[in-house]
Amino acid sequence: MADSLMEGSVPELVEGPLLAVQDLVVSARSRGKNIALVDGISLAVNKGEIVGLVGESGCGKSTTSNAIMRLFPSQSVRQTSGELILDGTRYDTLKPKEMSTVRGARIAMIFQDPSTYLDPMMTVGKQVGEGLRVHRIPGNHQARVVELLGLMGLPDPEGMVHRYPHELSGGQRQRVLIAAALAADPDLIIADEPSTALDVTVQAQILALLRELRDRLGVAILFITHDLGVVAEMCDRVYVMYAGRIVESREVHALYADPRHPYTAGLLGSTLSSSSDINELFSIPGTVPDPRAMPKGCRFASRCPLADDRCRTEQPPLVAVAGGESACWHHDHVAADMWRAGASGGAA
Amino acid sequence: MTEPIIEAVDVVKQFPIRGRLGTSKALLTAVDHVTLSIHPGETVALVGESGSGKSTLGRVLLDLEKPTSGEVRFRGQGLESLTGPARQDYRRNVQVVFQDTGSSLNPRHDIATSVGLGLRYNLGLGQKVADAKSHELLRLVGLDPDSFASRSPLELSGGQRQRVAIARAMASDPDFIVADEAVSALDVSVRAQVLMVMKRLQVTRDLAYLFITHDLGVVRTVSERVVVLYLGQVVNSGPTDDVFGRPSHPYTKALLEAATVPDPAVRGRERIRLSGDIPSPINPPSGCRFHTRCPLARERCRTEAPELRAIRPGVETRCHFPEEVTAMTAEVAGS
Amino acid sequence: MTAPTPEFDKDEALLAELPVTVPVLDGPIETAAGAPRRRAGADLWARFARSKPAVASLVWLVVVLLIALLAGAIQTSPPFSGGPEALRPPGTPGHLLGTNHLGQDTWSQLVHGARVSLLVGFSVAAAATLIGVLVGALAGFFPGWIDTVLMRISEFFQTLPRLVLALIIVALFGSSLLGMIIVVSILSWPQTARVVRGGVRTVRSAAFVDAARVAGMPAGVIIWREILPNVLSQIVVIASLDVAMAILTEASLSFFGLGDPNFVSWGGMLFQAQAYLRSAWWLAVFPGLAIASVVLALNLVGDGLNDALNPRLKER
Repeated sequence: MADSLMEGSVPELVEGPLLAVQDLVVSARSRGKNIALVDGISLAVNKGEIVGLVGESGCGKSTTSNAIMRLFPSQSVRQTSGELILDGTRYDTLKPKEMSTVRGARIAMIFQDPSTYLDPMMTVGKQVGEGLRVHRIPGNHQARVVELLGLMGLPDPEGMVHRYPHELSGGQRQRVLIAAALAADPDLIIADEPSTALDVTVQAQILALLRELRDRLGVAILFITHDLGVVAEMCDRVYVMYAGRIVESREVHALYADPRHPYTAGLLGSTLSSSSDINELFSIPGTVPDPRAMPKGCRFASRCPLADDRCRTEQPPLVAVAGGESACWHHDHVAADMWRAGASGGAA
Repeated sequence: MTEPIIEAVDVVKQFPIRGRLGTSKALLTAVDHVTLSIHPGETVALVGESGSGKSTLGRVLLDLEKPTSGEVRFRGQGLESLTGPARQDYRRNVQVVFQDTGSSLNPRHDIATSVGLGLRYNLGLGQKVADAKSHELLRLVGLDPDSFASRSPLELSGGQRQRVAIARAMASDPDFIVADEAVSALDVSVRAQVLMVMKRLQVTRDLAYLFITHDLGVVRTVSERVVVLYLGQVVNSGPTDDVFGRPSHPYTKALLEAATVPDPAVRGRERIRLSGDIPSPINPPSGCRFHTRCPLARERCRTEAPELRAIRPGVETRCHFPEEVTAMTAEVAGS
Repeated sequence: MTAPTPEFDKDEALLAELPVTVPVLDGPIETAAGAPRRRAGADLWARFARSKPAVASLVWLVVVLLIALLAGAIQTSPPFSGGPEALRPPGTPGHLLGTNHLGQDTWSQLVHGARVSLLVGFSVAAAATLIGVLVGALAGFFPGWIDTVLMRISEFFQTLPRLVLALIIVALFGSSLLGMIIVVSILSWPQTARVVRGGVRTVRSAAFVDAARVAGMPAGVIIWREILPNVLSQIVVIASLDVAMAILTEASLSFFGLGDPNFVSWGGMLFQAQAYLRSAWWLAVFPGLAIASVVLALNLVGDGLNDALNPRLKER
């Protein structure tokens, strides 16, 4: 189903989503017990969309991206429930051999640190071309590799083919990684913190490149990050993740202008923008609950100024709000400045 | 103005790059004739990207590296000439908070031991007194000593670890702290907390900070003065609001515009995007080092290296055409 | 606990006075969440115990140790006392594992040989570790000429041919257990030094080492208190392998007749068994099995320790 390059085409929303994750549960096995790292999340990415999955350390976003690729770094972490559906077909039950036709060819991944994900012993050309070889893409591989490197904005693509990763700068390595991910023309790219390790000026280039790739090639991107500035730059829709669950899912403008979950409001408010006055700074008090001892009700209740008894005993489901969904019993009491103004309504 | 508490005076730091068979192949000049001074109670931000030399300069100020040439002066006296009690005084008063990389606290020691290091060695206190004072220091940064003192760093969150690092730095009641990317590795919702602890300590103890960072949001929030480094040289410096408000160097302007803004409404805005990558510090470009990426570059920039000079009171810049910077609009520069 | 010093009281008073806007969320002193982790020791054993081969090997080594300690009690006849019953096969009454050409009881020789093997093994490991850690730590911590000189020295010792060195020592001092221990130690320490040097170099660049320097810790204390504890796991593993290597080396040197004739050793038994390989198989098989099983067990324990001390490799 991999299309050839569609230059200049406008991505259209098709009926079903390209990627649908339904009620995904990923557990780690520790000392005989199953601990849910991702506890029942559902998300969707439509063709040609850039969707953000945002959260802080320990929220489970990287685990989610591993689950979508079905590639876990550890044997003790597995998907224990839920479905992964690509273009209408379920793929989480595929055998490894069949799965390898999905990975790389239909869903590709780019990672945070390009230095550790590029083989120092292989030339750039070989690594970018690996996807073409493995997935047996017809056509002239050499020409395609040069074309891809040029598409990435790398200087002298013909010469670049013979260089080794250590000869390149951080920004160039990330572009090579992206080229390798695009080699087999995937429909979806999962970008896991692709610009976090890069310098600010280089980050701006990479983000622009990714946007351009979506615009020109129609490839969808699931962007995983903790950086709200990056999300604002890149994404059409955003999922906010906390303690293994999705707490808010909104269209991007709606999320920033009018957050409907206290955690989102807290995240937005604690982001240091260029005009922060030190006396206006705040952090969200408390810490994320331990996955081994998740509280019964809403997982954010222990830190939330709006929390009441209902919040502490019943976990709020995702309900429709303007521009998306929110999982909060008091979502209509959430205001962008709620952490500053103090709690109101429902606090016990 | 009062005498600076610590200064770098024309500091150069070079590292030999080993070729094969251990021969010296080339020289990497990480810090290239940098002069910088910090006054009591001041917060100065040192900004730059990879290869700028900012971390190396911090290490030279901490005496973790010896400068290849130039010197560091503590309260007017060169470090090399300090002996005995004067040297002790320097060690007690110049401390560091590192980035939370997982190895800023020894995983084999419990928190109280890590915090008490300065008490034991810089102040020469006995174990019992040091333990008691460690508890005080933990309370100072908002951590309950009874539940934290005997834990391992691996059990703490990033924000907690950084506060422990601050407590460790405060052990000998220093006058100056180098904060090397102190909040960069922390979650956004926790950064403010750590910065507030540092700010309160500054106010109550008259502490000076050198904030080494690449994050302009942090710079604006905490520092009065900013020094911008590029490939080992100071290219811009002055009061933060002035340097950022009326940029007088193209790199500063590019940095400001490259930063992401957490507001999707301004997404499509026009801004400068630099092309090309940061050159290697082993072989910096000729003339003005920034010319390969600079939207304003012309022939003079390729051949003649600009000097650092004052463009208005308090603001210095290293550019041939600083007056053109404010008018610089979104162009993608060729290299 | 001593009372807070005046400096800290001043701090509280100042905080109260200053017109600094304190954020609303600045709350009471934070307590650590969750129970503290188990003591490191219990954790370590739990991880080690997950590997059945490692535990079984440890058990076997303990058995061998007990045999060695109780050798005098469990022998069936003094190991050196021969008799007319020469070259008897295993199962002969009074000789569980048979006898050799001098009528000496194989079982008794085996249990006494365990003493020599374990003694040499552990002595060598101790000596090699001591020297290796010292050299490796200095080489790893002080780059430049100290490192170069120490590493050249260790390389020299590493390239010494074993047999030649053993012959020289025997020629000079006669063959003795002490001489054997010295020889094998000299041959073993460079490997430990290399491993320790590597480990120290890695840890040296950690931020907490810089923090210790800034806190005024002198270099020697830094190596001892900050760096070496973080290299401990590698040292323990290489030490366990040292024991195995020492036992093998001792066996091979004794096999060549360079061992101490006053003591029975497994290698010495093999030396004597050479002439009877076909006619009296038990003279070679039992000491051979003994050596192989102990060396294998040590290797498996070493693997188990490695996995237990570096858990990141196997699980998050």
